[in-house]
Amino acid sequence: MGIMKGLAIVHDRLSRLSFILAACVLAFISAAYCYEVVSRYFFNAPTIWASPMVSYGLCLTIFLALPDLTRRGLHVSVDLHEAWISPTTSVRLMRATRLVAAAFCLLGAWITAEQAWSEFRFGVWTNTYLPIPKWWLFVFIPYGLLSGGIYFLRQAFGEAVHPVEEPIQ
Amino acid sequence: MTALIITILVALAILVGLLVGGTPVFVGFLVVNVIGVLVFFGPAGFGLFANSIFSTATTDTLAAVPLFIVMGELLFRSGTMEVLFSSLDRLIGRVRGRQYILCVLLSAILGALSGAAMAVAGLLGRSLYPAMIKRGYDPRLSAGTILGGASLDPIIPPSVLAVILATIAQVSTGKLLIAGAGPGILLTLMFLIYVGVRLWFNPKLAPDISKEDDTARGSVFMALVKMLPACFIFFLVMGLVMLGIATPTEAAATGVFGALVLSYFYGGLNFNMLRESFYTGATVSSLLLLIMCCAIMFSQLLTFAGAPQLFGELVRTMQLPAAVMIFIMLAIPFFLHILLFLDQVALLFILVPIYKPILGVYHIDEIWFFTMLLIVATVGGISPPFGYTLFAMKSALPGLSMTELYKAAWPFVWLICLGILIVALYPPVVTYLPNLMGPS
Repeated sequence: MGIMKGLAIVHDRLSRLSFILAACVLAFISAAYCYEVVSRYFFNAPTIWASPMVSYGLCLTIFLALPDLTRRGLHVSVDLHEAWISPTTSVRLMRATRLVAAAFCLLGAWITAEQAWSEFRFGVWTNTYLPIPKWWLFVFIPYGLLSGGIYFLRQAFGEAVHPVEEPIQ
Repeated sequence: MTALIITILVALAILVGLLVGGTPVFVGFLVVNVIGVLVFFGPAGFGLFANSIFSTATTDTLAAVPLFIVMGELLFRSGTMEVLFSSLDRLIGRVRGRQYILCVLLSAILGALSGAAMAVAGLLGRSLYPAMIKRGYDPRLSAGTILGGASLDPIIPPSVLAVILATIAQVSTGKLLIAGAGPGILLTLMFLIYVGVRLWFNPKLAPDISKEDDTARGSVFMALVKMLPACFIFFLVMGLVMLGIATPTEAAATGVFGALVLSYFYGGLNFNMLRESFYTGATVSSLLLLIMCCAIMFSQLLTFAGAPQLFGELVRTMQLPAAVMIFIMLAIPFFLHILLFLDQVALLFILVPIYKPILGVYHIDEIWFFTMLLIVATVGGISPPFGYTLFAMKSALPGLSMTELYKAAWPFVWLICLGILIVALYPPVVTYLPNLMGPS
């Protein structure tokens, strides 16, 4: 039990850290495109890195933020049924949907990890002005889905079925 | 053909069932897409599925979504809203029902600066509504103007929902953004006229203004000067797009820069405010874009299955007049939204791939139709009984009953429906500005 609790704390801290990273990447995206606009329109010197960096950054932001969003239970969902059914049924339904979510997030993580491995083995690079190995980005997708899937699993088995929103320090 | 129809109906039933059951929207699409890939391609199609997520997550035009959200957050947290509030209040002057007018205009301007109906309803519900009630304004009309005004936000550019819709529908993002300006102004005017007419017939809906002291509120000139920087942000974003100087994403980044400068100008710029703005930007945009990443494969699967041809053929067989078809296509999301409580983004992902071939059959202008679809998607937010914005307003005003909120919302729902009818009968309201931008 102690080990599981310890692992859960590590998982939570990792998720918070990756969320903070996601916000930093978002700040970088804003700065990169501002620089691009100034450089292109004021100095007639467009960059070749801004657009690809922004697209890479977008991928990082989404999947680095995913675990913490799942931890805080912020995903967009329809909670209409809660007003119509008994609290017991509502909790059961919540657990069932969290189990489905966990199963498919973990499956998605496996599928995308396989693809990342394949990109690594075949040495595939991105097709942009600033090419990088595709797996460098791809690995963040299985990371996000795996960690999110574990949160859904934790919620399905009783831990914070209705996760409380906490401010991030 | 029958097998295909059954497959599509089963997929839609699973998706809607999962969503209504409370499964997160992105998971609902993930489930349907994984099953769909297995049915059509077997495990060999998993690479296609993974690459679909990757290519959506690295679409640089979608970077406009987090940037617009960060821009709105910076403006919300910097004190810009308070400046706009007091300046507008001064500009409207000594008019009976001034706060109603202020509420509608402020919502329209907030829409231009942020674009999130629920956020604006919550903000005005907490700040403006109590002040209006205290001064003796009618609670129902006050709540109605806030709800109606907030529903303008996803229509008036820059709109996050328009960027998402343009990406799904593969139409020009710049044109779809600009297209919202005409209907946004039209609906603002309609709301103002409605408030004026209500006050004309029943002056008791607003307090007597004869005892108000105007001198304490500063000069009109200063109010205008104070508003100029916020107007500059709007030009920085939409002006650059309209003039063809910058892409919507570049304009959004410039808007973030402008918002930073404005925050410094108003004295609200500090590390905590910056951190919170980027945290909210990362949260809201990741939630939206995650749905996009998992949902885009749904339209690809529909296309692979031959749905566009199927729907095209069905439409040709039915031989309905274009007007009737447009009415049906706009009525479906309205009822799906209010009956099943489906999220706007999820609705667009389900319907746009189905609608796209039908628009081709009828040669309907895509920018015009998708702008109307955008308005329908947003009016669903204030439509009783399950509109999202209604619940945002209710959470901001726990003391107000849902029945009162419903009664407050209905006139504005009908006004927006009338607005859609005007836009449908007179398309230049939508198409005039996008056409000025030339071919995409």
